[in-house]
Amino acid sequence: MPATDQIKEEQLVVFEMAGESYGVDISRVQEINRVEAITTVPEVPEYIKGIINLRGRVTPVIDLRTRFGLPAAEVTARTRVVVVKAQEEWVGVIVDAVSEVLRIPLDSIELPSAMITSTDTSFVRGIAKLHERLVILLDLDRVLDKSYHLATAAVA
Amino acid sequence: MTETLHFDMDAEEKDVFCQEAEELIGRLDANLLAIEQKRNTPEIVQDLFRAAHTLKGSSAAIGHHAMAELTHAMENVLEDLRQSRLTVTPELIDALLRAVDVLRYFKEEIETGVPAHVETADLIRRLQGFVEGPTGASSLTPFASVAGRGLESGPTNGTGARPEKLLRISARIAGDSLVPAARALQILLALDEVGKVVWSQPEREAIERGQPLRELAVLVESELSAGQMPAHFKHISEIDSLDVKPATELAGEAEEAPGESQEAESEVAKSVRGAAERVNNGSAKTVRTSVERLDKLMTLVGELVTDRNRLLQAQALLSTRYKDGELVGELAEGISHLASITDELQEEVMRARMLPLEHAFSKFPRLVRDLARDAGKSIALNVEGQETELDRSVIEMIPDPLLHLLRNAVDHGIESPQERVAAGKPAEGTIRLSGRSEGNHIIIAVSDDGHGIDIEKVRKAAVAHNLVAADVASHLTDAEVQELIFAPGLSTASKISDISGRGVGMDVVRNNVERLHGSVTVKSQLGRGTTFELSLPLTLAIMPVLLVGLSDWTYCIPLTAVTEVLAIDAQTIHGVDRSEVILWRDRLLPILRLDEFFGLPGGKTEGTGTLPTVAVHWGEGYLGLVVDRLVGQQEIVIKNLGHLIGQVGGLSGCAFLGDGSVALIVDVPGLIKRATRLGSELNVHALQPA
Repeated sequence: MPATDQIKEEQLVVFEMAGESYGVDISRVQEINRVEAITTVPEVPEYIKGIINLRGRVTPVIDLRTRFGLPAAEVTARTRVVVVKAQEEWVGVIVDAVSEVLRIPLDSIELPSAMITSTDTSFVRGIAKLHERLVILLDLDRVLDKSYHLATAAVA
Repeated sequence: MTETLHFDMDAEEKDVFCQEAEELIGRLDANLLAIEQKRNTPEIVQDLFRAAHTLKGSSAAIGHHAMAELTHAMENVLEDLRQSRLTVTPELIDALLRAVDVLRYFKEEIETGVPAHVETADLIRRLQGFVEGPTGASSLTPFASVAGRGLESGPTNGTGARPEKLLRISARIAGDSLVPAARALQILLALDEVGKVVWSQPEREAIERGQPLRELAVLVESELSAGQMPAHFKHISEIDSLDVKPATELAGEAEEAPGESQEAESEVAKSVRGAAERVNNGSAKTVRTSVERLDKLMTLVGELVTDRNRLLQAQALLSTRYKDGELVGELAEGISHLASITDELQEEVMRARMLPLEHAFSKFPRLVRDLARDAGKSIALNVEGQETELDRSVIEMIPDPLLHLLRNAVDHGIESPQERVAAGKPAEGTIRLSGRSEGNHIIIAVSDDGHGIDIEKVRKAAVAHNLVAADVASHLTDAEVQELIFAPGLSTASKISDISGRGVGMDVVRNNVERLHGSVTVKSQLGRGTTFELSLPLTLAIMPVLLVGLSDWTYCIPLTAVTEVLAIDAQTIHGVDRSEVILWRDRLLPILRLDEFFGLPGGKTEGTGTLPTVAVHWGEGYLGLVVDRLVGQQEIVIKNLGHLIGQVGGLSGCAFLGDGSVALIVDVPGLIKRATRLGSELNVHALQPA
């Protein structure tokens, strides 16, 4: 494949949450695990579920539903922890389910302001339209930045 | 654009150079002070000379000419001192100490690459003045000849009664030396002083360029015999072997008087054997390694400790389930062996990271001398136990609190000479800085024989600053009042430091020490002096803890903070004000239900009946931590909670347990401070106004 083609597309790990599809850049994803015992840490924002031992690394785990102001969900057989690389450490992100790895053409990505989603758009860096599907591209750095709060309550 | 300096070495060589320079500068400082305090022994002067000489060699090797010139001038003065051609005067010591200060600037300059812009001409002239003084027969050698570029022969040349002999010197430089060329140049410089180098392999130019080498061969004209020669290289480190022979002998022309030759040879043999013995004794058998590598090793051992705990746990389960299984016994044996090897390995790695306290103490004698001088006081600093070893991570953290304590002792502890004499004390005050190990801890004490803490003044000041109510203050014991100097409100009030004799920033000292999982206590007697004791763990990496259960979770309480494990009857808990207390050892012990505190649902500490409680202490403060259950003791590797979580009140980190789960570590000092503003003692008194 010629190099120019590679630049024209992005590879995403796509996961589901509250009926929406979200995508993160595959290069940021370290691994995908089932939910195991998480040690609760007191006095942290509610969306930080605690810490786990990921092969010798202290790894914080966040619940993306809580982070987005969505109602909490039971852990099911499909619930996954997507471990992503943050600035200084790995962070586990709990999602409803991981569905697929997608290649999307860059020209199918639109800026978030044009669309209405159930997610606060400040965590969104773009929306990919693929046939009949919409994949919300997350701005991971904002999602993982503790000092970054939801600008508004989630739109139902 | 800022100016930066470049020297003839790479980054690793720079580290080695700076480390060595730091050591040597420290030795110069300490020995000069020793001489000033009338402990003028030949060994000390010899050591001073050696240190200046080595610094000269290495600074010349990297091309720092100002540093080489200054050390050369120092060396000349010290040589005269060594030969008793000079006597020690305050002016002489001052000039040499000033030179040491400048060396420090130079070292920093080399370390950072930022020019220090120090002018040394005056200082060098001052030093030369001592050597060229009216009484002294000058032994001054111009620097150019020492640097080996001049055409003059060595200083001893031409003065000797005997004609020069040609000696052949072969040296092997340690294979692990990072700066072999510098060592070779040191040898050449040493030879320059006792004779004239006529040939060397590799050539001097190549050595000065820093070309790596293992062997050095030199032909030197000198009036010294082959036997006298090795003594001149004693101070050069990283030399594996050194051989000196008359060059004629090598050429097979055994013309010398047989007696002399034999004598020379036997001395050579002796010196070689001496070198070999040094190697076998281990003093030369060391390897410099990077701190990063040691840290990595420590981390790996930490992982191993976690895995050992995990295996032991699995094995215990297996043994209960399959009691008579043959394989289970086999496995148990293997695991127990692995466990003991892990223990040993941990011990060894920890030992490899140990440094003597000297590293932290070495700069204090000079500092106290200068501070005392500024304050117009006469103070002797006695340093003891500096050979005591502890982990380098701890060593690196202690100079700050110690500096603070010493400064306080000088400024506020020791009285002026007049006051002291009036009080019937010797005019010279004494500060003792000592280190000793006690179990898993090291105790560092700073004590002075000054006027001590005036309890009544502190008591009044505490009331005046609203730290305690007047009726409470009057019931505090002396020890409790002394504790008050660590309170933030009191210790930062400058007025108090004058009247209490102590206190500026004492809360900072305590916070720093507590961050190291250590504690600081004070004992003082009015008119007699004050002693501060710092208790520090030997290492920060691995910590014995008591594991306790809270709801579904396991928490770690550092064993060093545990006073006693109690089983308290829920009915004996009294609610006073908004806190709860029990009666314990004739005192009221505030208690904290940990599950509630951490907001963990499902805890059982609200139950009736017997509640397991861990009595913990910090400084003079005590607190009872009510838990759901006691799990056991374990050694854990401390890990921090990470960037996203950050600092959490009541926690000091986390650890991995045997089953791979994560347990949080309770921050005992933090909890005690939180439970009561000044520690439980004060609270206890606040509860029972008499």
